[in-house]
Amino acid sequence: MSEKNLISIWFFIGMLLLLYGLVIFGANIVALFLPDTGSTVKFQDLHFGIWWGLLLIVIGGIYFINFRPWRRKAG
Amino acid sequence: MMVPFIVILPGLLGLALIPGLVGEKEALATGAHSYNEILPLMLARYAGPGLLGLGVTALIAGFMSGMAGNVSAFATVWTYDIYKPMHVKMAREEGPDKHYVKVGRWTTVLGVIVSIGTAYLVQQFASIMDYVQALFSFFVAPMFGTVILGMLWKRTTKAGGFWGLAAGMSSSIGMWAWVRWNPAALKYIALSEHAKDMAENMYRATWSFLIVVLVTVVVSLLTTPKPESELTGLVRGCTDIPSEGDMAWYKRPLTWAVAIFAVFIALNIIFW
Repeated sequence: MSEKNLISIWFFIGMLLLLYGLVIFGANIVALFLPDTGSTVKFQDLHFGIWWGLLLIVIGGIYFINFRPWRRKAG
Repeated sequence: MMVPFIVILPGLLGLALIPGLVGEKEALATGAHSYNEILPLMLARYAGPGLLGLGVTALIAGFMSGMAGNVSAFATVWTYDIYKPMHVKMAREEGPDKHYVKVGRWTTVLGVIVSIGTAYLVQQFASIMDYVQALFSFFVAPMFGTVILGMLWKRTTKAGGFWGLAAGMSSSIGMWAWVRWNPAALKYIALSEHAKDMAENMYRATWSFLIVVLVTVVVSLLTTPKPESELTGLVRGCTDIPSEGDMAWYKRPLTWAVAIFAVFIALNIIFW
């Protein structure tokens, strides 16, 4: 297998982070509209999940796009 | 420098944020939370749905990669560096690869069982931090003496390194056992009978380092050194060091060494 056909590990890391980000962001957006169930998690009003989800989407997205395997074929 | 920030900072934050944390023994007796549980407690307190899963996944991934790395290193060192030379010597010929792969696999299984056993050993210590520091004083401090002498002093010999390391490790474990057997020995090891566990670990590490240096130097001076031609690329005095003249100042190792030393001194002055 030539080096040209290898897919970078960073592509998979980016894909995973992007996926985690989407799931965490999505779950916390849904939770915004649901009634409070009396969770013991502190500072819920700051909506950590949304911000962390967004951060993961951005970092994962950068790696996913920069190391995408189909970019080289097009160029 | 990052390790204290990753390991100690969350612990200190937890100590301030989660009241009522106690030592492992008290936690087992009273059902309270021990400070060894700080990471899961902090996760449960601050991470909501999704983030909690990610946090737990990250912890498990960290444990798994650490364990996989250590167990495979254990299997490799045992099979290639210890078992293979012994096997070749006894059988008078090198065995087939299949044989060594089999030994490696069984060593991996054994390594996993041994590592499970060490979990029970940790229970004898007040906290995981105490256990890790004790292990560092047994193995890492003596190893530092051997590595630093081997790298910087071309007169160091194979026998000097071996006996120095053996003396350092066994004296360190011996000092630990002596204090466990007779607590009065603490005043000789840590220079105070009121010394805490961490101070004892620190002194033990220092003594074992000094023993390694002393034994390595004495044995090396009594044995025949390797010719300098064999040490090229390994020992400082026998290696051409590439010039750093054309490097930017922030890329030079010396800049970072000075910065780390300055932070080290500053932290010691602040927290004395």
